[in-house]
Amino acid sequence: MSAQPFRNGAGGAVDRTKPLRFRFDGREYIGYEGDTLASALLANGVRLLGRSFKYHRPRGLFGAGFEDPNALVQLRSGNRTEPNIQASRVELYDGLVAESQNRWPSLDFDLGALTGVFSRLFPAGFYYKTFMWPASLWMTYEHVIRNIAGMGKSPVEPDPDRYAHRYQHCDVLVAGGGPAGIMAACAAAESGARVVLIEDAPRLGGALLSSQQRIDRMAGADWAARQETALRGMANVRVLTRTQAAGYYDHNTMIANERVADHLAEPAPYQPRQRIWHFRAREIVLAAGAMERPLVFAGNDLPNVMLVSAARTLAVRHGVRAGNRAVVFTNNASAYPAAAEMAAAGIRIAAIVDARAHIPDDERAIADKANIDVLPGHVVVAAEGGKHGVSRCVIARTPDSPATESVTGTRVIACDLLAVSGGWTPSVHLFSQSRGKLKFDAEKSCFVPNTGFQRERSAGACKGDFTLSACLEGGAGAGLDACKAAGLTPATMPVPACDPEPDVYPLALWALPWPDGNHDKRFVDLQNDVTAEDVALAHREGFRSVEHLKRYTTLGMGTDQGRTSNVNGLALMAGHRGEDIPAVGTTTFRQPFSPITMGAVAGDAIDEQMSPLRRTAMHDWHEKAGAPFVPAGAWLRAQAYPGPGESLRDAYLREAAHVRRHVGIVDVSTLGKIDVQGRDAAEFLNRLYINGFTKLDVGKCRYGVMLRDDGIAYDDGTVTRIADNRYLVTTTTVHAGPVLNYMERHAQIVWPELDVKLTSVTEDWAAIAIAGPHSRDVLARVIDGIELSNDACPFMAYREGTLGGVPVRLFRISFSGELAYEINVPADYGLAAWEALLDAGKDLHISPYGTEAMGILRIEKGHVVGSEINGRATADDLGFGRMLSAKKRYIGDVLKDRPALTEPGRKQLVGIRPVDGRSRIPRAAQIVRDPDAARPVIMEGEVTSVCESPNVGMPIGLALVKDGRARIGEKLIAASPVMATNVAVEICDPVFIDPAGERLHG
Amino acid sequence: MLEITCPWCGKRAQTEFSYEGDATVSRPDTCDEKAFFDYVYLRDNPRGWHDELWQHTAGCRRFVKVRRHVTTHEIAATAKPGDALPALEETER
Amino acid sequence: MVEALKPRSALESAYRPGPFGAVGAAPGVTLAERRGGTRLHVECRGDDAESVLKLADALGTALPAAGKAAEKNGRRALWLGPARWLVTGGDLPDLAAAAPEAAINDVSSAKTVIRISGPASRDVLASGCPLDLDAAVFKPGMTASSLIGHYTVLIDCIDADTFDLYVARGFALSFWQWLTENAAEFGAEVKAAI
Repeated sequence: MSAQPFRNGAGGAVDRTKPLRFRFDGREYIGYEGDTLASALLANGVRLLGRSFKYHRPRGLFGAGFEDPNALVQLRSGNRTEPNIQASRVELYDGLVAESQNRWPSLDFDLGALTGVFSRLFPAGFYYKTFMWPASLWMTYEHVIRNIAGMGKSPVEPDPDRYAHRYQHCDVLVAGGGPAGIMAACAAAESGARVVLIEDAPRLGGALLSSQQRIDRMAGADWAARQETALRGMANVRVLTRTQAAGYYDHNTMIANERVADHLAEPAPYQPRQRIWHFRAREIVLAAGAMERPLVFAGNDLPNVMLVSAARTLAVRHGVRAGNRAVVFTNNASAYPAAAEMAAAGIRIAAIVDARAHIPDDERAIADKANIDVLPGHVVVAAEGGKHGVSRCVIARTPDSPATESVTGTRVIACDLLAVSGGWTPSVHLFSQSRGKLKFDAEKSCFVPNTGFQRERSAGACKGDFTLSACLEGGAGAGLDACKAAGLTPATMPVPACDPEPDVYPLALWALPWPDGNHDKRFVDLQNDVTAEDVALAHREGFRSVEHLKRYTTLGMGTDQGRTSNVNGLALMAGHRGEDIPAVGTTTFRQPFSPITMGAVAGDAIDEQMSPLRRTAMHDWHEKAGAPFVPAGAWLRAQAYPGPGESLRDAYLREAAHVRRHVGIVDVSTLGKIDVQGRDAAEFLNRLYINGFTKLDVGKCRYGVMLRDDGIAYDDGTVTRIADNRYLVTTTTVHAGPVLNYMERHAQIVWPELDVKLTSVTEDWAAIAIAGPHSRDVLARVIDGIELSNDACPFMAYREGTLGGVPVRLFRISFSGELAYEINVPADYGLAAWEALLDAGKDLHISPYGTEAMGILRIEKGHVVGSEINGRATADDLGFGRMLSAKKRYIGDVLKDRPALTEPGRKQLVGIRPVDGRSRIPRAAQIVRDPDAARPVIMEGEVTSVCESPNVGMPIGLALVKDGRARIGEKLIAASPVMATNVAVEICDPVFIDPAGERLHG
Repeated sequence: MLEITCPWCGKRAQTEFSYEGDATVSRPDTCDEKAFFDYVYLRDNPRGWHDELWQHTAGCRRFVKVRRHVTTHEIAATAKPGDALPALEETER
Repeated sequence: MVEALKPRSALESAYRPGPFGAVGAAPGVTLAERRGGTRLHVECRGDDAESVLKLADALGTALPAAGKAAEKNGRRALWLGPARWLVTGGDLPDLAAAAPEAAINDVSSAKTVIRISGPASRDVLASGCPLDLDAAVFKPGMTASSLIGHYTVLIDCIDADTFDLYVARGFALSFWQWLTENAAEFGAEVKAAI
């Protein structure tokens, strides 16, 4: 533990009465409440915070906020560890643990830094050039490269925290809580708008928190605090701090990420760690501020070479001296007030090195007042020092031409802090995401918003208005403009007075020449280790568009997406191309602005909530009976009911045999059920199905098949006429939704003249199929009000009665080919009805069966399901040719007759059985004559369904085979290259059991 | 996320809707094979404004005509299936 | 003869009355399943005012306009879509006979109904629902079918901070899990079913 040698005794927004312990790379330090991890480390004199991505060069803090590309840490440990976190945005809390990244074995002694020594061997595009051949070894190379170059480590344990989402609508959304954003929010709030104000920092203020400028005769930070209190007190305003405005999407959707509990060691019980906000705003004010730009010179990446704004923030906001003796290198005015405030915080400013030859009087006055020497017309051409920081800088006269390669006549100034300012880059990311077009402002040397696309306006520094007075005024104006655009009456919004400051007109200065004897790297992109030479190389090799430049050199990639490097990089490229900057353009800004953890994106959509489950009324019974479940759409269906010591296979073979011998019940609640009513209901069904329904009597069911308009079979099911103008349609489980939607489409769009009303009643009815020779006997014991004899209730009859006092619908239909019924009861009574049936049939050996046994029974009977109605088969292919009505129009009637669907050689439904009477037929096998024939082997068909049949006594299957119906008795091979199995099969009729239908009519 | 104005329910989030294809084709009333081929298989793929069908599946379950710009996602107008969208020239203006 | 069958809620296995989550002095929301009662899905033949009024008279209910709920004779009708309503009440006579031109389905079992109440109820719903749920926008007497999480839910605004949520029975248990998980942050209590 150590003192904080670089912490001032007073000043800044840290609470010196609240010390916080934390660990960095295993060492314990103390910081204060109000610190960031970065400020606390610098207070302790820790300047080496990481190693760079490619060359493993020592790096320190460079920026004080979003813009810092260097100080990425591995935060927390164990199951909460998170890589690539910006130390500049981490609020310090007691017990914080962080590790530096990208170094091995330690930050101080890093073997990977050898890549820096051999860096001449690692130019831009090196990986592409070197490792892509031979392609087969790329996987090996990639593994090694990622180990050396990797950033932090992903957690390997499950995330213990929960993440939430929230939707909110508002009239005016303000992205950014600096002076412009505060004014915009206040103006909109005063106008009565529903306002949301988003700020990434823990409190409002933005740049005000990092300066001594005064507003309304008080410190800017105090003014911001006063406005924040006022805004939070208004019912029509929501202020979200610790929240990143991450993405601007279509139709004024803004996504923001609130770090609800990241400033705590761990979230409070039930508190989400982060929350994604989905905003829909009528109008948006973008007040995202600006980021300072670096200057490109030799060694500009040394620890304690940092942006002026970073040094200023440390001094003013955290009471931390980033160094004791600083050189400030600038090409613009903004460094002057900053230098003065740094000096006031106790940093000795050795000189302001200003590239501009003429310093305006107001700036000069600031320097004079703070007693700071200014060197006009000078530049820093190199920073020199070691891994713990810069120790001196080399200065020279400002070169006459940007093409100058090296300079002489240099001199050296000793310093332990080199603060640089290359001008300011407005944060136009959100504007750009909204499809707004940018323009280059040559005077301010930056891209600013030009034509917007959505309902937004920019205010303050993100628009290129860099002075405080312009931010306040622009913010108020934008807030009022947004209200007007939202149809509200804007209030009057007085703009408070503030201290003046000089505006920013930087001298264009994109890369400085080398001094004699120093040829160190000149970094453009610190996070991706891209140098000015790499940009030149990309240009020489033809990667001249910004998009190519980015991909070839990795400029602007990584977690910071070129926040500090973008403009410098493309300005250098413009120089090489001999064009101006607007001609080169920028790369596209994409969401999110800054990385968001995947947990937050997923939110609560994990485990069952990732894909919700649908359970039948009898679900709990199945579960208690030990049934494994199988998904069918969202539904869970019981697969089988294994008894003690019984395998799943034992169970379903037993169940399938049992049904044909005794009686069984199966939960078929998942089948789709659609109530069709109206005077034209019969006509509607006639048009949907290939067979006719006008002559179906009340109280009767009929099997029906639907085609698609392209003539291919779509779905099958039963249609029951419940009353004169009322039918109940069943669909397959998986097609329940699509078929309803299909019917709705035709009712609403194709035939709106028909009087037909569609209601999905799937959820209202629990459905139980009871099958087997004793099914009628069981039913007779429980059903009231229905005469069940074969004459009174024949095959395909529909009856209504009661079961235990509850209304029941009874359909005499059979999927198994046995004497069978389907009963529907209101779902609330489904479980009770299920239990009543089991209870009533005990002495008749009633037994539940699952989907596996159901599948066996239907294959034995040659009934088709989705495996056969596979989107390629026609009605005739499946054996439904005789059902195709010639007396009416129906969907698919025209295209079903096109040549390709009627020619010989169509694959037709047949049964298959192993020639040896025992080999199991491989699932999804191809039917061929000779699997060993010369490639390509001619496919004769495909196996669609297979099972072991306890009732036939051998494995059987269904298949679609070319001209199959004419090939009964032929022997072919079911070949499965996947399972490396070939089984000789004989083509047979698809109905294996009771072809005459005696059982089901019994 | 888009915001689609359902003619019955008002402005609703895109997630409540499902995309239901091209609103500019209509089912032929004939037995003409060529007409059905066009209906089933032929679609224009315009860059710019496109009239589409969406169904308000999580809401009123009605189909809605939507004029959407396929590159910018702007929605210029919506209508009930039986009603006409404004003339395209009007939208382009 | 079979004993009278007993109904069973889709939430039966998960329904445990009592406080849960970050409960402070008072729960942010209370949850209660509304059981029993009859619910009819009613579709009118036309959606013109005259047909609707005629049907409403025949049914002895009010049939509200789009996005609204209405009460009459102890029956509450919720707008579902053009010419479609959900009519709820303790006991509804056989209304099909009263209105032969309408399509009427007894869907009493089809939906699980959960009442959510309390100062945080709008926040809980907004954790998964893209509707504008601001108290000044979505007011008592308004209904909307929308999404909450992955679930299609019919939301009936009963009063300023009370809502009835109608969710498909099959999804009820999954939805209940979603609801309780998102309510926990605000402090919640499950009340006895009503």
